[in-house]
Amino acid sequence: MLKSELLKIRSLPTPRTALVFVLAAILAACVIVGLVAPEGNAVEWYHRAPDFAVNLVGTIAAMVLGAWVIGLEFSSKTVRLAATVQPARSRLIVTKFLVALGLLTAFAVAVTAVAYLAQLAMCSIGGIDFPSREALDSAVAYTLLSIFWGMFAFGLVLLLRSYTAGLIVSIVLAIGIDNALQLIPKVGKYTFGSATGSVANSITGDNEATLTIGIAVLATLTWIAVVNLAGSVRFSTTDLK
Amino acid sequence: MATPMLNFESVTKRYGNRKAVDGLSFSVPAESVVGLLGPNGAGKSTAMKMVLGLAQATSGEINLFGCTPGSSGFADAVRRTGSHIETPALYERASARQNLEIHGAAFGIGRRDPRIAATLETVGLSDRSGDKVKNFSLGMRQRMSLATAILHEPELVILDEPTNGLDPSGVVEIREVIRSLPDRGMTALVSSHVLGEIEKTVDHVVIIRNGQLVKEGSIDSLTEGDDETLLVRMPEGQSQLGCDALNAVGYTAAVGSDGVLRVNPHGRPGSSIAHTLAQANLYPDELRSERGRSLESVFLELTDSPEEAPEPGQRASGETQGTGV
Repeated sequence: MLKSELLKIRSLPTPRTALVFVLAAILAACVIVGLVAPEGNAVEWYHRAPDFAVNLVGTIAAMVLGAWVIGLEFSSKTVRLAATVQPARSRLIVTKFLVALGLLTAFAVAVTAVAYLAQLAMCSIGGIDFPSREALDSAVAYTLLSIFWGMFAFGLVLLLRSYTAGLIVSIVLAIGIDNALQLIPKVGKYTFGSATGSVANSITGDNEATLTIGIAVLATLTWIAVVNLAGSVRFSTTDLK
Repeated sequence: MATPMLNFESVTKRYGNRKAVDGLSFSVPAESVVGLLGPNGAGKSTAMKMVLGLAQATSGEINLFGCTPGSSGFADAVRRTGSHIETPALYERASARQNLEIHGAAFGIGRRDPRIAATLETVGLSDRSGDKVKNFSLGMRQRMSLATAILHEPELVILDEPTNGLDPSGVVEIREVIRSLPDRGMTALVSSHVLGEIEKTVDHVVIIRNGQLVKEGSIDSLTEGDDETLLVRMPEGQSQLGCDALNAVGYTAAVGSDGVLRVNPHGRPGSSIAHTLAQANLYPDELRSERGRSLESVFLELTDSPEEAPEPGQRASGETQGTGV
C-alpha cells in the first residue's frame, strides 16, 4: 500500500508542479529584490523576499499537496478502488495520513533548502553577511506551517469527501475567514490561523505571538486532530459511491 | 455445483425508505462466470458494492470466501477480488502502464513484473501503454479498468457493465477475456444490459428486479423450451410502431436491443402478424420463426415493467438501450 502511494507521488504531476511553482516564486522574488533592493537595507530585503515567497506560495502549495494525497482518490473517482485495495478503511486513512505527513515534510525541507541557498547566494553577490540564524528560524517555522496547513487541508478533504471543496475551504479559511475569526475577543486567538501564526512567531520572533508556544502547538494539533478525526469517522462509516 | 465463493442470504439494502436490494439470495460458484441481470435501478451495482464492503447491507448476510463484512478476515477476502464498478477508476494523468504499476504495487507486483505487460496485452492496450489515460476513449478506459481488475490474478472478479462504450470488436475481445477467466482460476460475477452478450459470456444467470431475485439458473435451463418466437425486422424507425400495432391486437411483442421485434404469436401463424402490420401500413423487411427462447425474451418476460426507479447514485437515463434493460 505504501509503495503504491509512493508510486502515485512519483507518477502523477501534482507534487512536481507544486514544487516548480514554489521554486519559481522564490526565483522571481530573488530577481525582483536584486533589482529593487535599497542599498542601505539590503540584508533585510534579501532575507525577506525568499521568505515571503516561501510563506505565501509555499503554504498554499502545502495545502494543495496535503489535500491531494487523499483528494486525488475523490477527484479521479478511484476511492472505490483504493477501498478495495485496502478494505480496512482505518488503515487506508492512517497510510494516507502518514504519506501526507512524509510528503509535506520532504516538500518543506526541499523548499526551505532552496530558499536558504537563494538567500545565501544573494548575500554573497551583494557582499553582505548572511543572516544564518534568522534564515534557519524561518526555515523551521515554514516547515511546521506547511505540515500544519497541509494536514488541516487533508482533514478537510476527508471530511467533505471532495478535493476541490476541501482545498477551496482550506484556502478561503487561511486567507479570509480565519483572520475575521481572530477578531472575536478572547477565543479569537485560538483559531487555527492564529495558533499556527503564534507557533511561527515564537520561533522567528518576527511578530509578537498571541499564544505561548506550548498553548499554540496544543491548539494547532487539536484543530488538526478534530478535523481529521471527523473526516475519518465520516469516511469509515458511510458508503462509498 | 462447486462451493460458492460468494453467497447472498436474504440481503436487504435501504436508502432512506427505498429498498435498493430486497431480501436477495444467490450464490456464485467457484470457477464459473455468473451474470447478474436486471433493469436500470434493479440493484445490481448496489449488490456488487456490498460484496466489496463499499456499501453496508441493512440486513441479511453476505459471505465472501467464508467471511462476512465486519469480520476480521473480510478485508483479506476483499483483497482476493478484483473489480470494476460503474465507471472506470483510473488515474487520468498517469499512463496506462503507470496505472497498473500503482495498482500492482499494492499487491506486491513490482514495476518490472511481466504480469503488467501481459495484462495490457490481454486487454489489447500494449501499444498504448505509455499514453496518458486522460487521452483514452471510454472503450479504452473500460479495457484499462478490466486490466486493473485482473492484474493481481484475484480469485473473484466483479465486473459491472464491463462492455459499456466498447465497439463491436472490443465487445468480442472483452467477452473472450471474461470467458477465459475460469481457465485462469478466476471466478467472475458480471452485470450487463447487453443480454445477447451476456448469453454468450456467462454460465449461470441471476435475474433481479426491484432488488429482488426473479430467477436464477444456467443459461440452458432458462432458455430451453418449445415456445415459438417470431422475429420481425422492421424498416428503420418503425420497430416501435410495429410493436405497438401488434400489442394492440393481443400479441405479446417487444423491441429487442438489436431493434428486432420479438413476438409471441400465441399459436397464430406468421402470416397473421404480417397482415396486422399491413393494416397499420407497416411492412416488415424480414419475418422468421425461432424455437426455444432467447435470454432476452426470458428477461423481458420476467422483468418488463413500464417504470423503473433509478439506483441511488446512478443516472436515471442514458444507459437504457432498446428494451430498457
